[in-house]
Amino acid sequence: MASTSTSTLSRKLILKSSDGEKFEVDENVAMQSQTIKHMIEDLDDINSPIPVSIVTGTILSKVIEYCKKHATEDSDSDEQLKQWDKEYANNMDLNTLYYLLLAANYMEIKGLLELITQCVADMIKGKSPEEIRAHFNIKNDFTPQEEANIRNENPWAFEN
Amino acid sequence: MAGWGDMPKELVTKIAEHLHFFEDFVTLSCVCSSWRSALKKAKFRAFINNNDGRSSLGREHTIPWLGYPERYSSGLYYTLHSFYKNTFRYIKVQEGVYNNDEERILASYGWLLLVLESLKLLLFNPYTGATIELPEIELLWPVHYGVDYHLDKLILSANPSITSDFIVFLALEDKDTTDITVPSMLVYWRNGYDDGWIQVVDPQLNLDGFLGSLCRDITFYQGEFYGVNCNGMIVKFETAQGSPHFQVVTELETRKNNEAWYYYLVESAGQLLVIRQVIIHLNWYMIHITSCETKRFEVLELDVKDGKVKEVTNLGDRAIFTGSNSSFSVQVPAHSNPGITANTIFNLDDRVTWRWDGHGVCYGNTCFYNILDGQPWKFIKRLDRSPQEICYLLLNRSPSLLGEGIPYTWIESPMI
Repeated sequence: MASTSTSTLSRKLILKSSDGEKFEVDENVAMQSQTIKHMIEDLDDINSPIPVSIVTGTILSKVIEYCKKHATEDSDSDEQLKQWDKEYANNMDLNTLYYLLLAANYMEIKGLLELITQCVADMIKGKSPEEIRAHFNIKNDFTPQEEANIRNENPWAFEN
Repeated sequence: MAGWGDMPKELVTKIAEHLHFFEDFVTLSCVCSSWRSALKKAKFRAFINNNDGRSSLGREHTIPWLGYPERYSSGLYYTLHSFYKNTFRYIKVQEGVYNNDEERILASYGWLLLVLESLKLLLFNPYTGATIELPEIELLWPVHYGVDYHLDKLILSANPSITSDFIVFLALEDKDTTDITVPSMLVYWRNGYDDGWIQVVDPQLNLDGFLGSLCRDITFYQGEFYGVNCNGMIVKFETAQGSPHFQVVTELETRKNNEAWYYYLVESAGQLLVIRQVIIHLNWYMIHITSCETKRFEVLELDVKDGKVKEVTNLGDRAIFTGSNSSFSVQVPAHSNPGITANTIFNLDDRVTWRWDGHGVCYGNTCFYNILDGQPWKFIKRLDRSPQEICYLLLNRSPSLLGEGIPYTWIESPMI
């Protein structure tokens, strides 16, 4: 039964990043992206490169790394896969994480999106607004008046 | 350069869905204007790692705050203390509310029960300002047939923020007695039904039956309410059929040697847990002043089909909150904070032990009990201590301190 499964007969697809880098991947790897799945359905020539327009080659290679791992379900237990996910996310710097998040969202890869948003949420937990701004390099764009209003509304968010 | 502040709004929302604590959710909306506007439309659902699929929508509980009433010159306030952030929030109670600063706040799923001076009842969500009007309740008329009833327990079958299909269950009791054989008056009402409150009655008028003593706890489990009284009798109500009756599930022991056993009921990860509170009587230096103190807690799982119980020795990542409100269980996220720990029972003194105590001399029954290390971990707020010191005492596992009795209850953070 395994010998006739689609994975052994899997077609190859070519993904092209925003900066022109090309990646050849198995169809079942690429199909984890809902966006690509829909694109293939409309595609006349399967051999022409599929443009992944907002994702750079560096990020796309990371996305493919994730999809490859999750396309081969046989060898790893759930526990091992979780551990792999954790290490995968922990090895990203904040900059990469940000573009990976955008890529997962654009490419509609549910598992990757969950993984990255969870990872970012873990960084936020327990921090104050100032600490979050410092961590993610976000500018405080509230006017002093707005800030005062927010403080009055939300005593939970600030240390006493 | 990556711009986290300019992240698409749907991603800010997605990140927020992974937060367990309302405090973190609120913090997120204070970071920058873009995130703030994104979260205006977001929902806080206290992300629950629901791998087992056992909890159903509208029945998830959130890690609560410690709530108590305080009167200031500007009126009545409900103070909520967050163990997570060690901060306080003050809710101004609206004018025309009958509740006072000596009565416990009654709440379920973060909705507070307010009694208006017109004796109308309201469920009030302090975070959205939403209210749900409940039918009037005759029992609350001053001195109803010679009994001065007051509201004692509020239990909702589901969270009204999530579903309109919920039942409100109330326990009322005689204000002027400390006798636990004086039964509670139990009533319930299903949202959307016009027929008003249905009062639970015993068709056999049995004085040794469920209505022969004060109702200690009520909880909602698999489509029905269950109750336990001070005699250890556990019953299943018939609210689902709209009937005022109940069936006995089991009867548990209430005394052993010098110990008194009282019970709470908690739905937890698909199980119905019975929490046994073991209390001993202490005699103080004057012979006529006695007090009772919680010695330990034991956790039992009840099989509602055959009424059998078996001991549970480990709650895993769950924590249980008990007291005068409806008791509930939550999953404690790993590495979340020092204030709330897993495998722990967080018990607030309720009116049963207080009554048993006679004068309410000691509030030593408010304690947090880790079922693994077996030591009740007492805490009490003393009037001569600053609010910050509550946490200090908690974290240092300070021994019990005598102090002013404050009517505490657990108030869940809202799902909005």
